[in-house]
Amino acid sequence: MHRYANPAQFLRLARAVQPWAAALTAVCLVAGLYLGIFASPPDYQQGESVRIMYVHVPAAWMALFVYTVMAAASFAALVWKHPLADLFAKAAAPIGAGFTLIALATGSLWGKPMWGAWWVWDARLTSVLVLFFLYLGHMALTNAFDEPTRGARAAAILALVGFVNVPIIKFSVDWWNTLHQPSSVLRLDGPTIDPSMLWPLLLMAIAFTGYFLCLVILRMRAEIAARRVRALRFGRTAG
Amino acid sequence: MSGFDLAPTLAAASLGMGGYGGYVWPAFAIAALVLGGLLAQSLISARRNEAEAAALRAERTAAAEPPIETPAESLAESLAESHEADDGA
Repeated sequence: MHRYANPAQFLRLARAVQPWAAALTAVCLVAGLYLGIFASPPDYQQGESVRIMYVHVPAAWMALFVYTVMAAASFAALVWKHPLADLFAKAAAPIGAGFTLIALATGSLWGKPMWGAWWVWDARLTSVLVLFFLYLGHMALTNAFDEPTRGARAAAILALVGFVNVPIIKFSVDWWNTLHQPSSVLRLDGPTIDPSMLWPLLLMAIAFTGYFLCLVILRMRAEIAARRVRALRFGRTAG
Repeated sequence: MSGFDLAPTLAAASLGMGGYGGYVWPAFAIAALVLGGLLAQSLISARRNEAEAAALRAERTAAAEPPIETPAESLAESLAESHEADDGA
C-alpha cells in the first residue's frame, strides 16, 4: 500500500491509468446513452420518463460509492498517516458532491411527473440531502485552516462520522415508508429489472465510475503540483 | 448518413419523450453540466498548477550555482536540463 505513497510513483501510475479510464468512460457513455435514450423500451407504468433512471440511479450509486471510498481513505489517513489518502479525500469530495447534486436534481425532475411533487421530506430524499451537506461540509472544513494538515485531519474525522449516513441511505427505503421505490438492482435475490433496462443502467454506472477515476486523478495531480509550488515558494523565501 | 436510417428510433424517442420531454431532457442536461463543469475546472487547475510548479523549478535550477564537474559532464547535464525545460513548457 505504501508503495504508491510516494507522489512521484503515484503520478507515474496515474499517467498510465488515465488514458485507459478515459477510453472506458467514453465507450460506456456512448453505448449507455444510446441504449438508454433510444434502444431501451419505455416503462409500462412510467412511460418515457423512466429514461431519467439512466442518469439518476448511477449518479446516486456514485454519491454513495465516492463517500464510502472517501471514508476508507480518511481512515487510512488517520490511522496510517498515508500521505496520499488526505489528497484523495480532498480531490474526491467535490466530485461526490457533484454526483449527489445530479441525483437530487434528476430525482426531483422524475418525482414531479411520477409522484406529483418536486420534493418530499421522506427518508430517502432527506438522507441524500444530508449526504450532500456532508460533502459540502468536508470541502469547507478541508480549506478552513491555514495549515493544510489540520484541515485534512478535521475533514477526515467528519468523513468517518458521516459514514453512518451511508447505510441509512441504502436501507431507508426498507426501514421507513417512503414514496421512493425500493432497490431493483442491488438486491440479495438478484435484479428485478428487465435486461433491456439493466444493460444501459450498468453501462452508465461503469461510465460514471471511469469518469470519477479520471476526475480524481486530475484533481490529485493539481493538488500535488499546488503543494510543490507552495514548497518551492517557501524554500525560496527561507533560503 | 446514407444507408443509416435513424428516423424510426429517433421518432420513438423523439424530443417529446411521450410528453415527458420537459423532465427527461433537463435531467440529462443537468448531469452533463455538472460533470462537464467538474472536468473543465479540474483540467484548468491541473494544467495551471503543473505549469507553475515547472516554471518555479526551472527558475530555481537556473538560479542555483552550477556544481564543479568535468566539462563533459556539465555539458551533458545542461543539455538534459534544457530538454526538460522544453518539455515542461
